[in-house]
Amino acid sequence: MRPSSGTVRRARPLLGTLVDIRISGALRHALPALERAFAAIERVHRAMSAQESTSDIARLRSGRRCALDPWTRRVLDRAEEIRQATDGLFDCAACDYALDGIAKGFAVDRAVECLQDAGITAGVVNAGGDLRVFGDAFEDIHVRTPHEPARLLYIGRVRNAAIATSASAGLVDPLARACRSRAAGATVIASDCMSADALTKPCMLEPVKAEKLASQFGAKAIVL
Amino acid sequence: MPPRWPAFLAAPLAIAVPAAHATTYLTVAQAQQALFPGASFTPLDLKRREHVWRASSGGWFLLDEVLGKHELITYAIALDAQGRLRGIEILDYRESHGGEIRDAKWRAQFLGKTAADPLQLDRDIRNISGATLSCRHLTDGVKRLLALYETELRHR
Repeated sequence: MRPSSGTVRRARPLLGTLVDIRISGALRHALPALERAFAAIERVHRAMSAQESTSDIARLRSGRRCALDPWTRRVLDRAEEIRQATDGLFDCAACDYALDGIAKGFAVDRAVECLQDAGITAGVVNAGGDLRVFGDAFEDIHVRTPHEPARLLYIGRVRNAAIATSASAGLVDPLARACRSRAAGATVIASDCMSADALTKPCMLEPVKAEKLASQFGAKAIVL
Repeated sequence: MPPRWPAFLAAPLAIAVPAAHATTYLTVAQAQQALFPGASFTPLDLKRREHVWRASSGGWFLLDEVLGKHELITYAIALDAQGRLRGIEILDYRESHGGEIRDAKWRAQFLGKTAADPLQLDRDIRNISGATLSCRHLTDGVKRLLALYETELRHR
């Protein structure tokens, strides 16, 4: 007899990385729920890929703001809120509308939403290091340090939280319009992954202000 | 700059957990059923390193590995009877920053395992936040399998 509950884990290459989804609980709805979650991530990938010529990013770069996926509008709106709250330290427009620094977190949130809508009560969605944990169980979290990828830092246990880590290599300071960063990387813990993902960038650029920047969004920052 | 920890986290020791970790997502049989539910599979020996099966429901199941600088990924793709890509699944993901990836003996330890026998390595490090590999090797691998279909499978 097949078990009626347990853990299912899958990974697929999306968003330029490996997206890993692990869900626990009743298995009856697990596989359709996983398919819907991956489909949501594919939709974000199609709309917000900087590489694909048919994406919304390509549209925005050619000055067209019509016919955008409503999800792209949501990401642009949130990006604008964060730009204002960080005095321009986070600015997609400065990087030619590359939404890389926020879209991955948004995709994780949409995947979690799909899983929860399908009745999944616990799980983890990890898109190449931007991850979100939902359900009653606590999960151990490790951070890969940017300057020493062979080592993983154990940062503690979380539940119902999102964690994003970014390394500063290649990070552009929207204010100086140049690659500049004062920290090697930053980890942000927030209630949603889009905010966590976006906030890692201003926290790296201004590590002294990281705590204050993150707290505006009810988040916590760790400068690496 | 040393890490600065928020107040709610006890300043952890910088625990150097093993740099090698691995995850098994699916066995070959599970991946076949995930991509072609209910089908049966006939292997086709092409005398190549990629493994190929024909699905009874029409189409092909191709299994391959990609080797990056720090990662080894076993993956499978499903092609429909017209050769169109209809799905990709990752079966195994193995990562090491200690140089073991290119060591055949280290890789051999992962052979023959099943999903019911998860690797000990993975048990304690499931949630890693921070930059992981790019998927370039995987994308290149899929392109290679599609080319293999054109040369070896299309006319069978």
